[in-house]
Amino acid sequence: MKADSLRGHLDALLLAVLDGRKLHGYAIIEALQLRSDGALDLPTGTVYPALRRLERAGFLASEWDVVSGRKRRTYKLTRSGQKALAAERAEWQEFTTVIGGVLGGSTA
Amino acid sequence: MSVIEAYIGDLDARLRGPSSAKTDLLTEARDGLADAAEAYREGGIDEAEAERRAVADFGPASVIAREYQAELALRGDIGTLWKVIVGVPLIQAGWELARIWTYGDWSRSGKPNPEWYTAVIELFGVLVLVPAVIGAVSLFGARRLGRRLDSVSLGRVTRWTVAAAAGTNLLALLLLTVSTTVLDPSRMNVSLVCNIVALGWVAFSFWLLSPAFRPRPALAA
Repeated sequence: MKADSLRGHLDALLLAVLDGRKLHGYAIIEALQLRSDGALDLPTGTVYPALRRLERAGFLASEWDVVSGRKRRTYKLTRSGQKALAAERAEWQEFTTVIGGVLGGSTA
Repeated sequence: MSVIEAYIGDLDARLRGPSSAKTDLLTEARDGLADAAEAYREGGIDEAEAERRAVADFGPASVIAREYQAELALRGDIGTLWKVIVGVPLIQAGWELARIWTYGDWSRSGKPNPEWYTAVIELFGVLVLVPAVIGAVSLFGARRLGRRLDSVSLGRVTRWTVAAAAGTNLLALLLLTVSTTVLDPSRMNVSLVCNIVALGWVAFSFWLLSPAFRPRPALAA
């Protein structure tokens, strides 16, 4: 899946990956690739500014932590981020139900 | 120089903005690249090739720099808004304290103010509060709008509000200075300390306004 198709969904994907855990940038990228079986093909450099944007919007909180013996900036969801993720999930569910209903194959 | 360091150097050369924010962003980028290269090395790839692949995955510096620049420019503008909110009222309070300390009550001059000048002073009192209000509203708005707008669009909005806040502050100063000079030029010389604070206020106002008109590197679409 190409970067252009993902652009509008990157924020929601990042929030989903951070649901219930605290991760540093590269671990977030690994989690995105793992969950998508490697299908997400976006320049990894775009993830870091996106994380900062989500932090500025109040959806993420970050701090410098020592992870595996190295200092890394780690991110976690805030309460607003959890609400935003829930809203994104509900919206996506509605979207797939509607579009799936039309594209799903029924000719009725 | 390693492939990663060369890439970070390239990115660094393309970015303009507050140095602490820039260092913070580049440190995180370097860490991410080091993590990616390490993952490749653990998969049996030699060091140079691992770094080359990590950099290739990260994306071309020309493209990635636009995303970073949008974030950096926005941080710079948010920093300027904080300076407006805190700096303008502080200087104003400083000038008033200096006036009380070095000059005393206005009535000491023994010259009554004409009606139009009293109106100007009242307008100045309102105008000088406006930048801090614009700054506070913009900061709150930037946080809310940041949930809907990308960094580039939000950056445009914020840049205008910085210009409006800094411009209003300068306009207030200009109004008072011109009016006082027209009324009685000797009133401009309240005291040496007041004059120094007033000059600092003017310099600070131009400094606040300057980022709004500074050309910026191309941003991401």
